[in-house]
Amino acid sequence: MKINILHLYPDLLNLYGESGNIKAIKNYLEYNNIKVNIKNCSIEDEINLKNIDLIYIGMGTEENQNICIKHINKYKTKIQNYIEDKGFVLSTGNSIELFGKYIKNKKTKIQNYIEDKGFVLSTGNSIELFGKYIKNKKTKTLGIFDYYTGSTNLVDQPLYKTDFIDEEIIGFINKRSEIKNVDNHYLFTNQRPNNEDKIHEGYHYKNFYGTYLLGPILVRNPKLLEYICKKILENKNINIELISNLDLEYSAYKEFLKNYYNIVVE
Amino acid sequence: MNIISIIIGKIIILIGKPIGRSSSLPGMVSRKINKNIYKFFKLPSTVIAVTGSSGKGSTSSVIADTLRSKGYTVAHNKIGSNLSDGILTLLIENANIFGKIKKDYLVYEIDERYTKYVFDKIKTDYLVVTNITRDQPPRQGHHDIVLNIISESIKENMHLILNGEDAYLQKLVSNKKNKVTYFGLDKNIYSYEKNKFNVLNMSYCPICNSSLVYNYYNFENTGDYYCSKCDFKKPIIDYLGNIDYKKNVININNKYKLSLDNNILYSVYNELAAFTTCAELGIIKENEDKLNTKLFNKYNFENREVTVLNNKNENSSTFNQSLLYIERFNDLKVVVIGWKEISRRYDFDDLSWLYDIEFELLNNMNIDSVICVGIHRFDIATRIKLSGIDQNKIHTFNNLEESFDTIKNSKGNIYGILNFDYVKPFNEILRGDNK
Repeated sequence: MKINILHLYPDLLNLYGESGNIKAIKNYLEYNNIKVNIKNCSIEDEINLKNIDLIYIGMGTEENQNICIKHINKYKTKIQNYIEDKGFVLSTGNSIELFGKYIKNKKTKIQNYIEDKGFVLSTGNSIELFGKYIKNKKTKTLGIFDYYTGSTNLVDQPLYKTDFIDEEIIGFINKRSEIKNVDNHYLFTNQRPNNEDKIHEGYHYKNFYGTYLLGPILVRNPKLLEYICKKILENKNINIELISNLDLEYSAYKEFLKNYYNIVVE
Repeated sequence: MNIISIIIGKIIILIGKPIGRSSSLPGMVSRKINKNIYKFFKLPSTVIAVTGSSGKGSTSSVIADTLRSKGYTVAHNKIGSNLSDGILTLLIENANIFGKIKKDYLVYEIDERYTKYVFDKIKTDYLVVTNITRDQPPRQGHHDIVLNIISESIKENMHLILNGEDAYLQKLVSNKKNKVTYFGLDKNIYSYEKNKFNVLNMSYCPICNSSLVYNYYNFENTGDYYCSKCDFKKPIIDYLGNIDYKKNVININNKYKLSLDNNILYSVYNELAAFTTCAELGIIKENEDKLNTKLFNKYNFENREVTVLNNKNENSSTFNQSLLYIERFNDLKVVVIGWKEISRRYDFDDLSWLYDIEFELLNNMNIDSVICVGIHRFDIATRIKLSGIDQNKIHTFNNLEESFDTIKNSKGNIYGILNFDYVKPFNEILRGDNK
């Protein structure tokens, strides 16, 4: 029994402890005598999805995200087919944006000035410098899903619920952008939303799981780890009873709910 | 108005001192009274700013102390009030009522993101950037944001002093024509050829995005780098340090000798940054002016060696430096990791940075046990377990007091890899018992 994980852009989208998810899956499945093969794939490699059981992709700086967009856009059809064929994807942080239609770029100072009807006199070839400011309003992304990305600013420690796990989901959010125009394919429901339109979070379509929760969400939510691993194995028609070795993980989870939300889990 | 605002600032400094409100409140009040107060100051002829994710306090202190030891007068924000109002307080404190600062040098430590406000107001001649690493993401966003803020704040005539071995800092100067002086550390017995840190801030060339190659590394992105495709590479190092670990001495350019208080890399780089700055000012720092760091402690506990390393939570590089340091020694180790709180600044807690730290290095060491302490003991223990350390060697305790018996009964030398808020209580428990 072997599981193949493709970690996309581990050297560029590595902003908030994303390697924790890979370590968590590997540790849990290997404890259950299932081999885990991790394939790292970055901008100088071809994306090959043959025999891949899970794609993991994490958060990056805006600059690194742009570098990866140029690369991943070449593989739209492959990735779309993979998702439609019920391939598993776990996307954390702003990597969810790569699967939407486009990212609206933040306006530059010059752009704002021009749009506020500020005067500019540009002579000779200096006019060329303004080309990219005007044109560069959107960065096209894969377009597999219908949402797009706009800017925001949010640092938060949210508490979520989801249909497929009977316990709260914990984690951390630190984002400067967010997906908009999300249909009812959200992943989580916010238990303590600050305002009405922020009730839903993330994106869930077939076996695509995307959330702005950053970094090691499978470490911090052992039930989510168990669920995803069980589903991946079912998808491969491997039916074994997984044994838990997640006592430390679960203690950390319970301690966190108790200390921060006063929720006691039996 | 100018004179009044300075006098009021000075009065608040006097009143504030006994109640501990003298570091930034005076600046704030004076600024509220007179928003043009900055223009009123007549600054010393040489102004030096030090910024970076870590080491700016120590480095600026060594620079100030060195200048003083040579007989110069220096204004310096020693207590670390490094935001706009803290720096303004420093100016008010050192100025006479006519705004004249009668000192030979102004040396100020400044928070990375406040460079954007302060450099417009204080004409700064030298800027030392110690490093830009992952640091307090809930507050800062991420390192690229910090780098871009500093980059946009730098003025054309500023003389920059940088670690030339740090590839990431090259992003700060790639689009600039500033004068830059580089310091660096030569290849030494602890340099390594195969990357040890899986999470780096830069793996590709900042010019052409091709793979970056290292002849050797000294730490994370620091070492002898070049681009696999274009001509981007490590610049010529103006002040190159060679460490003699046995004698605890750095030889600089085969000409100057600096003795070290300790040889953890961050101390070495801070020393080199300070030496380089002084040398560019025409002052050669002498042996006796040692960097006196509080970041490192060594003592004995029941005939076992205790090494205490001071780290910053939410700053994986400080923990990585500690791990790289303890990896040098072949002894049997008990490693104590913990903190009281992740941050004093906010009441929510990010834990993702635990996975940016290369705890996997522990597998190269002879580990008796890893003791995880504090409110996040299970999160730390989980991280250690996922690095591959046998779970039977991992112990968790709610606080340092409760961990004492287990530390006492463990075997080997004791290494405390602690957030700064645990250093004092840890030393009290281990050293206090010894008295």
